[in-house]
Amino acid sequence: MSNPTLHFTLSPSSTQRIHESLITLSKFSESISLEARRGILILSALNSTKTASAAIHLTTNRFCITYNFSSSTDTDRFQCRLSARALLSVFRQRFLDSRDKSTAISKCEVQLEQQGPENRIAVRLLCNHGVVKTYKLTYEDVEILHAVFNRDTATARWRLGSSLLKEYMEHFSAKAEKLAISSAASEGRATFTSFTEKLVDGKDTLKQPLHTNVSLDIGNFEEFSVDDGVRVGVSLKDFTAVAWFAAILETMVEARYSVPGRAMQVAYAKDGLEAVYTLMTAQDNRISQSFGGPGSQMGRVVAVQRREPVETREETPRREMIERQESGRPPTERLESVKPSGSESTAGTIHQPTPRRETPASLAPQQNFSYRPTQQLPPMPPTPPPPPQTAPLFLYGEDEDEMDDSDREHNLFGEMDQERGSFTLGWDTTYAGNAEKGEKAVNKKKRGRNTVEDEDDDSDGDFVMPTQQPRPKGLFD
Amino acid sequence: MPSNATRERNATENISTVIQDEPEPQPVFTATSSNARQLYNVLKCLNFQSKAQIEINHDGLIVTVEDSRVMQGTAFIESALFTSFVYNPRPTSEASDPPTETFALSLSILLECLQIFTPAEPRQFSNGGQTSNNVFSPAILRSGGTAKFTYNGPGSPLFLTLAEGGDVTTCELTTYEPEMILPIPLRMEELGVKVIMKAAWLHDAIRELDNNLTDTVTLLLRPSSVPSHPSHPSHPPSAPSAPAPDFLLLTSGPLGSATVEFGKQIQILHYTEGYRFSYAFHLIKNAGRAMGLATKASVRGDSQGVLSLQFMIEGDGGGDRDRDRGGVRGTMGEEQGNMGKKMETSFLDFRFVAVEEEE
Repeated sequence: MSNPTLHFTLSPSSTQRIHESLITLSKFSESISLEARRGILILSALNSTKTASAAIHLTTNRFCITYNFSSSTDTDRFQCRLSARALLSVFRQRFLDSRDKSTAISKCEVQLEQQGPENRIAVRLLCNHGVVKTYKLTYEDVEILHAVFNRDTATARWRLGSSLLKEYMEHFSAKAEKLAISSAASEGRATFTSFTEKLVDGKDTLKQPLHTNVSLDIGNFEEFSVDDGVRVGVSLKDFTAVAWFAAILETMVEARYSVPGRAMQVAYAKDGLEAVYTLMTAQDNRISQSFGGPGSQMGRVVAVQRREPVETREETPRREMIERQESGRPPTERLESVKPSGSESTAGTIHQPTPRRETPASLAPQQNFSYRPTQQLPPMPPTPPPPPQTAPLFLYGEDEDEMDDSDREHNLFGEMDQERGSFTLGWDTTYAGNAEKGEKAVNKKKRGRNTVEDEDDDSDGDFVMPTQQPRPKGLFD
Repeated sequence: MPSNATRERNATENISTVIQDEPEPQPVFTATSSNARQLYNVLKCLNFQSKAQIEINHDGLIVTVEDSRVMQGTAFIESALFTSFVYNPRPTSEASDPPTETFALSLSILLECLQIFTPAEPRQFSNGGQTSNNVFSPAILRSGGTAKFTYNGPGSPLFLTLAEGGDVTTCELTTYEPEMILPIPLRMEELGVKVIMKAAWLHDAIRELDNNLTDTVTLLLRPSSVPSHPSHPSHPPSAPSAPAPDFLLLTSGPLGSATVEFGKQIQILHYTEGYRFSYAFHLIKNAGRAMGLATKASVRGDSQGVLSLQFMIEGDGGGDRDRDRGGVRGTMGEEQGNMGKKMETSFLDFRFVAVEEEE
């Protein structure tokens, strides 16, 4: 068996990106996994309760100056786990604090050293003043768990510029634990709410009584297709980390989810770096805050059972059409809120199953918005039948390969998409021990009804009512 | 209460009248500094322990701070740094030669008193923005006000009179009997290594190794591997015969190891093969502020493992000047520094005792 060899070189700006990636990943876990494959490098972290997973995918030909990886005979990848603390001391913030510019680094070399008994990841930082800083980090051989996410069932989706998202996130108290994202698409609003779940029981009822609602017009979103009344809760700390990194990258954040109790995927990409987060969502147990009444209409966007992410690019024009019909708002207004082509195109690349490597970064914006009927969609790659609901949440790398060998596209990004998007996430939908209700909820959703929480909600009057109800119209009208 | 500071505002009263008011027959020590900021900058470097020992002699002040008996920091403040410096040795029975006066005081409180002066950065909001345009404001002139020290011998407090613009502050700092501080001896005749480099480089290296891998840092010399430095081919090895070894700083712990290898741009003036000693990292970090402020650093280690880090701090705080270079204020500050005394240089010396290496 030959040992795998791994050697790559990073520019100072890439090194800084690694630093920022590690900061983000370290918010999820104390140990960070590194996976090297041909043409791709993945840094990932999974939190201790296995409810949140973050992965940074680095396209090596864009992100690295040089990249050499040759696998060992028995596997096509190298996987290991390192301490986040140790990694962060290597890839620390180096640019802002250096008084003397000459101490800045000029190049960063990373190498896998597997000679003799001592196996190390060696990082050599070459500085402008001739100093060489060498780190040799111990690592742990592991099988990395990847979160899987079924995009087919994730019908709710929105895309938002990272700077806006950051702006909204700044309103939330650092002490709050949860963030609820709810949609009132019929009223053209989406609401982010921070709250602390614990406060409803026990003596600490009034310890964290602050709920912060940020209600925004869905016109601020690049795209917003969430059914009316869908409301999911995620960990605020996780989501803050996600938003922090996105704001640094200045890119478009895309979230996909379905119903509470099933995972949410947040993704964004820039310059050969793609960040994908899979976050478990929970039902917002506090109180039912319905935005549309029981008889209200569905959201403007008809929930389409999408089969493959390739439809992404068609989504926007379709939605515009609907908007034109329903709200009478001139389509130009909608287009004005569209971000410039740079960020748009990079974000758009996330969901193209075609090799992103070959996708020009300067994907023309008009192409994005040109109307093409759905019927004329390019043929979609066949989707494997979703495994039973009880499928495990995390699959070992090898298992993934076996599962969809037949229809896998023979390119990397196809692989990645498949891996991330083709399998049903295995969290039980029977949330809070009420299987029937959960199932019912899903069914209702599929039939296009709204306000699942309304009926499902088990609020029985014991909960503390928020002192302020969300305004029907937001501040930014 | 160790200090007593009062601040009075009187635009018409000038400094000289305040000085006249004080009844002083013949104090043991008086010194006036018109550049309190540099004094502050230098003393701040020693602020890792609150108690400092001050020795007065004819040449200036020697301020010593020690940590755990294995680390000492010393600042040499020459009398030239003061506009006036008068030391009248007391007639004592144990007449030492040369005569010195030693007392201890709380360094952190002395620093707090010196901090009363206007900060280096002009405040935008003061006087409705008028001061930021006034070329005679202390912040622009970077004069830093004047500080007058008076000491009357054992038992008496240290009087500190600070004047800036029309503000006069008088402070009275309790002094303590000096403790016996034995200097950590560096054997100059048995030097294992002597290296001179930019202080910023050493600072960068120490910050690099400040990574929680472990609490010891090892200094060592490694036989040179000249061909392994292709990044600097322009710099030929200076030694004619055997090339000088590489100077390394190393930390190692269970999570991994980190090495900072200085290239050929530092000057290794003296070395003996196989030099290798380890030091407690938290003690080395005591010198961190000095590293950040100084322009040059000299690293010396003897055969017993005593390490001396010497730092040269130039003018109005080398760090400040570097940071401001290019800006309008920066150039004015430099001019001011040149108009005053030429190159007000202070030296700081940090000594460390090596720790046993577990190997």
